[in-house]
Amino acid sequence: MKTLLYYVRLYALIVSQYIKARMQYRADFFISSFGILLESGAGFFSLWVIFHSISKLVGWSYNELIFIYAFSLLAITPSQLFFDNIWHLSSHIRQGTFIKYYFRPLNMMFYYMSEVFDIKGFAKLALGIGAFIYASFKLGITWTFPKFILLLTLLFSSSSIMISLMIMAASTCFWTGEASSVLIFVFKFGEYSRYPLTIFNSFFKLLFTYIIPIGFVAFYPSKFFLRPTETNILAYLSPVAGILLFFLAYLVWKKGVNSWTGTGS
Amino acid sequence: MKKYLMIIRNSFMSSIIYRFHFFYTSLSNVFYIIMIYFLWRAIYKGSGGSINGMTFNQTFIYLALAISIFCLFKTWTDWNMSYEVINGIIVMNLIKPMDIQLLAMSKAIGFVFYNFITVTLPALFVIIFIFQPGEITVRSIILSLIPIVLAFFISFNIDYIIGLTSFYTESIWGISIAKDTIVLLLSGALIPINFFPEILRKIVGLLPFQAIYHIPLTILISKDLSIYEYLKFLGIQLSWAIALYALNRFYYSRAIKVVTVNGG
Repeated sequence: MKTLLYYVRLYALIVSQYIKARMQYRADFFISSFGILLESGAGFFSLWVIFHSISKLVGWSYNELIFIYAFSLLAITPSQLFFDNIWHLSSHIRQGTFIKYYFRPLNMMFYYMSEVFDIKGFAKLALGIGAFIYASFKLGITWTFPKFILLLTLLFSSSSIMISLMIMAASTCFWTGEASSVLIFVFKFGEYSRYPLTIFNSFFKLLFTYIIPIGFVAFYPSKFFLRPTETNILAYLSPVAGILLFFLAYLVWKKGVNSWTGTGS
Repeated sequence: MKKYLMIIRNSFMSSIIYRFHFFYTSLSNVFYIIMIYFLWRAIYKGSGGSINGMTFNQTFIYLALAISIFCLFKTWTDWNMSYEVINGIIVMNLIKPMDIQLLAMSKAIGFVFYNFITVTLPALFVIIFIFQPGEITVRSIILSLIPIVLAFFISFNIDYIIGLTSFYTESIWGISIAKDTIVLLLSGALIPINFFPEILRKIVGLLPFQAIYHIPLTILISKDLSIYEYLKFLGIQLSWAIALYALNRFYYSRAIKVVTVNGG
């Protein structure tokens, strides 16, 4: 408990320094936020255009799809806010600057990830919350307290799945020296999580449920709120999948950290 | 001319170092194509035959090729220029006896060759042999060669505008992301322009982005394109290419006066 508090305080300190440093470039922050808004908003635009021509997508209505999309945005946001440094791991490894993280009496993953707090992610968060409220209002979903707790739990596990996949992808660079293409590969899958899994054939349904579990990022959890009667047993596994996957990712990371030989500088 | 050819070659050679990269980029794109296949199959499920005058096959081929062309033209020109400005490397380019725009374009062309081998070729392979479209004929492939080259020129010049903007702003992360999104959306690369509502389609018609994807793709997937229409398409592309090139010349003459290089 004491260590936990210590880490929380430390995180607040590191992040507040980082934000001060970033705020030197205020214009960059606003333009980047705008870029992110546009990038994430493009998906809504696509849905809007597509639903000009059709009324249902394999049984899912426009508002239901907005709901799933918003859910996936909210689930991806934490990986951007807290784990954005993952994108720089390759260059730290290649240039040898990663060595500094070995020398602090702190958990290495914590220390590494705490160094970047991507404030641009707030734009995504705002868009996600806005769309989520819009969709649940349109769909007439009533939010009770237990439901809200369920939502938070599911969002937590969904983001944990996304974060774990990204960490595993990035960790490959401990062995290969370059992970950006693997990261982009996995990140793209995150984007596919915004569609109902039912559009795929059975092979890809299995793939996206058990092998690359992006179904758990937005689709299965959303079903709790959209079609409570249709939820299958798998949906209840989301939190378990989230926690298990994070442990797995942590193991891979640890293994990578221990096997990296440095650059000698 | 020879010096630019050397730049093209060097840029190609330096990009093929990362073989691991190669594999995942191809795989990523193939997955995307599979993904749009299922998405659009689902969209077409409820409707009989065609939506907005396009059959499922046409839409799918259109979008699969669009993303392949997008990857083909992804040469990171704007990112590189911004990187060079931030690090001061731009000085080395400015003192070379070369035209900086042609230099950037040569680098981009080298990258296009790399992209062609890694991304576009595997994608074409998947599209042609797995999905076997009847829409693409030898005639349409030959007809679309010039439009694709012109499309590259337009795409490069749009990247170059953003790259020059880094002379003012240094970091261009946000602008580049915004540009990518706008280009993809308004060029019909994510959703065919035929699906857009009427007003939007009119607006998009007045913008240069549709000349990058919509025009070459339409030529590629239509079996019976009249020569008049073909020439009209070429005319639109050519005017945009010239307009953007002229704009960049003017913009450069302005931007070069404000760029500050920190050491280098």
